Amino acid sequence: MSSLRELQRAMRDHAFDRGGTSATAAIADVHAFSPAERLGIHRNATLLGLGMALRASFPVTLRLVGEAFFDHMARDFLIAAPPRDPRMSRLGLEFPAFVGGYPAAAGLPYLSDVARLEVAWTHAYHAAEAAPLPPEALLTFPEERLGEVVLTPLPSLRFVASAYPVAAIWHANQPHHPEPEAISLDAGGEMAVVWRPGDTVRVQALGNGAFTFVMALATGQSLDTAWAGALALAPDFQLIPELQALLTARWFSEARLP
Amino acid sequence: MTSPIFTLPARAGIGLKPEHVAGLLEARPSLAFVEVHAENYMGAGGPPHRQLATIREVYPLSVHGVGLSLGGDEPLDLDHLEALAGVVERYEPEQVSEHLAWCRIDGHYLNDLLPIPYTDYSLNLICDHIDQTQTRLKRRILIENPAATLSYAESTMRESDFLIAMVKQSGCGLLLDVNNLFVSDSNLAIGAEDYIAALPGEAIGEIHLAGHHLKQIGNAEIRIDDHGSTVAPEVWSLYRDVIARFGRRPTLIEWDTDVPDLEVLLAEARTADRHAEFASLGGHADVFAS
Repeated sequence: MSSLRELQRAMRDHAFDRGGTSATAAIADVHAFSPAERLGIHRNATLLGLGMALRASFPVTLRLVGEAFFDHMARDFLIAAPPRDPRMSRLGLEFPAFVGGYPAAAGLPYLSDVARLEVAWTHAYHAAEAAPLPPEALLTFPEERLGEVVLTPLPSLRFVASAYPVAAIWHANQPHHPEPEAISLDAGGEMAVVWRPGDTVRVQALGNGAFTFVMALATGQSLDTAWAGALALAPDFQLIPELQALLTARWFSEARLP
Repeated sequence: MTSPIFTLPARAGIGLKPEHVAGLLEARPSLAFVEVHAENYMGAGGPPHRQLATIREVYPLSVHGVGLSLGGDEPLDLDHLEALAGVVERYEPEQVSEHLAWCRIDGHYLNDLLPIPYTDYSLNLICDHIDQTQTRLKRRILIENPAATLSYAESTMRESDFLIAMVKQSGCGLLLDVNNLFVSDSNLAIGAEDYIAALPGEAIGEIHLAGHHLKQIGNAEIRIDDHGSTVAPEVWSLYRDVIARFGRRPTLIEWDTDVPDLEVLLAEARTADRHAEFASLGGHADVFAS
């Protein structure tokens, strides 16, 4: 072995099942076990440990496909894309895309979006603290300038749009949920927001207009502009009830005039 | 001899688990300290930080890093070092520790604490990385001995000699994991008694105790460190030897898989205190032999 770095690369390749057989030559051949057996223990530690971490981060995806399928898919993912961050909270950022292209999961076209929702959940869980706006916050602005108000989203707020009822699937397949009711995929897509107004992460599906409205606000558009965008997509969009919902849902932390 | 470097009370503490936070805050049992893995608190906010901030007001804190890869033959991950510094600055723990191990190469993270060969090259490498870490954190850190199932043909030093040289060269302290030492000795016959006798006791700032399991491979059994059960009798025995020789130290009960009820952890911590008290009074080990 030419250097410590080459040795560690070979051990990495062995751990992620990418060859790396040259590592065995560097392992002392002592006592009862061969170098290959000793390295095998570390391969198990790497792949099983990371696999368990993926299970913990994607409990709904896990429940949808079962442990055996999930573990196989997780292992293939880890071998294809070894993690680059020791924070387990960031382990599966690329997992949804991998799931979307995983041939054996092609029969579950919603699976990748469910995994995407779980990535958003993990983001929201670890996001920075911010106090949500109190429901009466908009009353403090002069009525004639209300349309100019700009809102700051909670750091936890994320949007997941799917061609499948992704929020319904997520809610029905929580680990404590005994027997999920059947969800018709023909019911159409869902647009979900994921956020953490306090200690608990919330997942909620929104209508087309509301989703567009909230997303526009989250990107810094004024109430007027966001409303116009929502009306263009959903002509029956009702501003006042949506504003009330928006404030009681506590997606935003700050309101200000530009 | 210089005074011991430990900065936590020299009694037993436990690893902090989210499911135990409510119970700890309610009953506030007597514990020398709690220890957390730094990597679990590198997010910006959320329940983990809310819990730790509350716990930190009640108990002394040890921050234990598992992802810095001090023994990796590549530059330290500066983002990760900054994240560790962020946790240390946020909670101002009494103690910070990391591992004599590598877990990352070419930016790929293995989620496993692998031993390194013990050579002059790796000694300089890890001492440079410890120096960089201690400089950034503005404090001395403790380095933990690995639980090894393999060793390297190119090693030119025993692990204990490597630790002694590392302490001397980098100014770090030692976190002596007695379970790891027993596992390594059982798997690789490194000679636990001579190992302990060789260590500079004043550098030992903390002790780890945990469970391990036996794995059958072919016709033989190998010991795997898994932090998933009670401390083995042989490990208690080694622990008493360490305390009898060096005096009492802050001692962590680690339990990271199949985490039991808080009561079980607290009982194990009390057992550790009983062993330590007994050993420090010069008592004979047979009392605890059963």
